Amino acid sequence: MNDGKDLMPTMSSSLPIYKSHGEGNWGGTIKVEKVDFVNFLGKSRCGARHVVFESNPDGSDKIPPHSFNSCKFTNVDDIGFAFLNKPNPGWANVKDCGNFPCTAPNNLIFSFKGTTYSGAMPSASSRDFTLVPDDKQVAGTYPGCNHKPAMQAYVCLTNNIGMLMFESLDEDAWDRAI
Amino acid sequence: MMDHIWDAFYTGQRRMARFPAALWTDEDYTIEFSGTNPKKMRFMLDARVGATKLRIPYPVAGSIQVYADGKKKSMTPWDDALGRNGPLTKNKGCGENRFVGIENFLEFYITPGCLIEIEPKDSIMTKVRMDWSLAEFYSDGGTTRFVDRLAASLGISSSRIKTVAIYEGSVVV
Repeated sequence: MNDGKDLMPTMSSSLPIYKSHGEGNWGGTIKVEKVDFVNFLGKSRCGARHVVFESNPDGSDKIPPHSFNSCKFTNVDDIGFAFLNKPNPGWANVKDCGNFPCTAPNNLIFSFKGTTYSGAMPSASSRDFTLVPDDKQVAGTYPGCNHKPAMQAYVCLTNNIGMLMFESLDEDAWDRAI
Repeated sequence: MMDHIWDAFYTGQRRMARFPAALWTDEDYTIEFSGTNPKKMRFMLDARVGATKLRIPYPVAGSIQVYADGKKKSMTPWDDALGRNGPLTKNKGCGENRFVGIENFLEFYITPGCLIEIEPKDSIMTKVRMDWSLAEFYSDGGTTRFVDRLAASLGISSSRIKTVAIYEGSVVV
């Protein structure tokens, strides 16, 4: 983050801890290896949403690509697999994102390789696939993607989806619209 | 609404000019800016497989230097038939690039994990078309005379002008 925090904590973190407190990072990638996910069937005993993957509802600027290698899903169905949040329309204001909501949720990439399943399975139970958000203008144009409304996502039978980052390094980058 | 800064007579907001974009690799893309293009930029592709060619149109004449992982990369070789640097082959690795003058666009190839940085060169690439035959051009001093005359009219040293190619069009330098 770019918010210039002290090296050592001087106070407790603001809650919720997953909320973004700075600008989107340039780099960062998340790798998950050989993790078993067991018994995610969409609802908790109290009826709350209970899914393996849910995007950060406060991640407005950048969510790094996630790579899952050799993970196993046991008793995980479509509804319990994922729920990808859409951009908050409230972000579309001059102070925050400008004329439209920031698009990090639409650029989310969960890439899976060597995946195995047992018990209840999601309908798109492939070894290698990529989970991307329910954005018809982006994922809807990729070949080999299946729309999954319950997840608010597309499941794409490919690993050819990547994230391009670009940034102005000019001195006036912070106060000049490009 | 809170303004962040005063910019001459106007108020404005400070906003980081950093953008993520999900894309299908092994396709070519064009990045167009609705405002003036930044001079210095950096690019990175995070993907398991594939690569991509990016094209950036520029509104003004100039020339751009490309660096890949900190190393200066030359443009593709000149193509006499096309009268411009040749198209990207996509097999020369990250940072293969060309800037096409007159049409003013930059193209470069980026592979996963490679950092591309671009910045302007202190030069302008241009093309001159003259209503001469090639024989007339060379009988009147050829490139040396042409460069001398151009340097004199611009008020600069002739050593600062480089002739890349001459071909018959009538005569295009």
